[in-house]
Amino acid sequence: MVYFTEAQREFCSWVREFVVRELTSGAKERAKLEYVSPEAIKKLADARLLELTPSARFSSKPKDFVTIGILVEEICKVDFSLMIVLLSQVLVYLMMEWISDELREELLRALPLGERFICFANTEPDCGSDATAIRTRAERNGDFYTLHGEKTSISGGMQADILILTAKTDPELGARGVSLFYVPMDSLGISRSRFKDMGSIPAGRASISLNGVRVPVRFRIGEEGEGFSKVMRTFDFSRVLVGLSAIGLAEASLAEAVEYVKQRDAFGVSLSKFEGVSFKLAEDATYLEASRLLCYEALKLRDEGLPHSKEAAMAKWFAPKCAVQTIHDILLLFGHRGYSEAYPIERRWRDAFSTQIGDGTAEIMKLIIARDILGGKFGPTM
Amino acid sequence: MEFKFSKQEELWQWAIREFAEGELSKQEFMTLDHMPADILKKMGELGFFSVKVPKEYGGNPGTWVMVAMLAEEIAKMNTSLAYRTLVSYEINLLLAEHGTDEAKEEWLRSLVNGSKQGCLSVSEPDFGVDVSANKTEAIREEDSYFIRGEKSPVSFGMQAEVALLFARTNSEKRTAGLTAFLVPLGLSGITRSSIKNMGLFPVAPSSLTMDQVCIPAKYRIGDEGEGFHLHTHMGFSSDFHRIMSGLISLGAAQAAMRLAIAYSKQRVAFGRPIAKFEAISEKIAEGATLIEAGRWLCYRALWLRDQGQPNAKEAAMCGWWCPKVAFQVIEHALLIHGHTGYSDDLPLQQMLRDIVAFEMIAGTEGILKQTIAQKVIGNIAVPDVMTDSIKD
Repeated sequence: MVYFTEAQREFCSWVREFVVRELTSGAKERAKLEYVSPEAIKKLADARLLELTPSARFSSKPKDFVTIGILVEEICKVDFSLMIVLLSQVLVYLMMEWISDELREELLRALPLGERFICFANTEPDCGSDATAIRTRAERNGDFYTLHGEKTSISGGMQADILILTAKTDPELGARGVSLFYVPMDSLGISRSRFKDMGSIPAGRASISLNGVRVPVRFRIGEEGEGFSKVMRTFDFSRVLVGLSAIGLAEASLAEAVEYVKQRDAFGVSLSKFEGVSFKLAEDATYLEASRLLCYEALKLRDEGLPHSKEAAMAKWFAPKCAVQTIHDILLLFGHRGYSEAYPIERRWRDAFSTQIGDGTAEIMKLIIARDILGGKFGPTM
Repeated sequence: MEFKFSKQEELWQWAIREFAEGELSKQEFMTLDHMPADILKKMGELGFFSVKVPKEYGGNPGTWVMVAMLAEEIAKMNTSLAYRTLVSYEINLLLAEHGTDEAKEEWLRSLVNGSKQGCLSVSEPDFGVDVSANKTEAIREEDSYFIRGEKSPVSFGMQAEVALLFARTNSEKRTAGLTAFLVPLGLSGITRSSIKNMGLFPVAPSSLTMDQVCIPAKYRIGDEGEGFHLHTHMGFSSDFHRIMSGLISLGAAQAAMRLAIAYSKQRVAFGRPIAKFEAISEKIAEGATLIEAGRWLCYRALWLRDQGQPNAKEAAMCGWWCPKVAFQVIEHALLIHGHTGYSDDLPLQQMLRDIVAFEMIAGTEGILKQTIAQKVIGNIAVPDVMTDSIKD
């Protein structure tokens, strides 16, 4: 990519080589597991790919946001199941400065080794992207908070040993009543159940109910009432990564399709000779390129400390849409092979579909964009 | 112009709905690896596989519109079963029109009453859309044919008792070398192995390997060399198949739409039902428009067929467009449900997985558009690479 720095380009070719060497074998089997393979996580840890943050204060190997994006894109070309791990590591590091000293020290030791599986819980049965409508309650009694409520659609929820969740510390207030908590999953009063999803199976999406879960005050992340704004700030980043993960899936599919249409004959000539085929691929390649650039644009803005909520929202709806469309076209191009479990296309199709939903639907993204370009007064009112 | 079903057709639709809403809502079998035999039996008893089959084999008179209504109504409950209905009609009617009396006597009645199931076997591992390149061969020796080759994938191949199969009786000719046969799948020399797909699980496709399978000459359907004609007349590349695939897709889309409408009224976001948001209501409006347009496209194509008029162009339109828009409607219905649509708590993700198959079942979008292009532009529109191979 033309505006990658020399270092980013080097990282890109290194990670490509790493992925092929370490992750290609067994990726198909890992995609069927109901959890993320600990061996694969270990490989990321050994390659020191689990301390993903630009801050030299928290990482011995700091990486800018663009570089983290490159990592996600390249890994998802081969093993989408690792996306949930990369995403949660990234988010924890973004919150590191607000985490209490004692917890932070332990996390900074354990996270790079892949010894903690963390997940984020914001969505509830009656509220998705509207975080102000959160019902989970955190009541303070002395040095403890007691948590009650139900979180749902938690990616990684079945495997996680730590939950970072939003809860209302002041139900009277809207967004300002939301605080953020660090909750060990072995705490008393937690139970979880699995969703049986159409794809992204290893992410083990879960519903988690909290029934009088007690956590010490030092497990609160940031001050009371700061939860919502902190979550929103991390969303800008995670949304772009979701976009890039979808693009990784689509790029891998496109590369296979290019080989397939050259080899496969219909009516005595290569499939590639039909414009219905070659132009479709040309169109998909264009959409992928455009949405990929949009993702990196958002990350670059973030690296430069510039506002990028609008670009992140654009990347979040557009990249998954382009990726799903591309994979869909390619699935149809492969015909009954594409439909069969013997080939990776249908799995990528099912996996990629999740990226259209997770971290906010296209409608929510368009809401953010519309507010940004129209301004508060003329934008959509909620 | 008259946009309505006849009295007979309306009664028929009522009977199907009665069955579908009664029987099919009782059993959940979207994810089974076979079709429940009791349901097929019941459908047979109700005469659901009998339209246009001669009376002596348990058949009843009726219109093409009636056959299609059946597929559409069943598809609202279960796409795989609707596809079963379509394939059953193809086999039953090919056998009824072109089979020998002995073959009909032995098989047709039980196919029509739902006690036995057939599969239609065209595709081969290396040739998808291009049937003229099929390699499976049938060699005649006195009163028998010996069949050898591999067919894959074969929808319903794991469960069916008999296959209506296309094989080559002449290796010199391409399309004119193909012949149709009835092949009982219990014969020695046949191996089936299961193919796992991303959807339409009860269709349970298989590959069929045939090693010198001997069948009596009376099981030949039509004349030698007539296979390609039968395939385009009533098989997978027929106008009938294209229209039916379209309507099945739209049936599923209607079911998804119902769920989306109900959910939009009940789900609250930002303090109001999401139906209040234009981003949601307009998607539903768009879906309703697509379904309405698609249904009439299909029913008009069928009406043309009932009038004995050509409908190849219209059928090809149904074949590519209806599954495509049906997919879009179901996808939007799923996305309206957000993350709940992604899990198997709701049937939407399975419907979406099922419907992808219909974007291929009636031929690729490219092939179907070629048919339309040749009708509306003329033969000049045939790409050079295709004219060369179509010549025999």
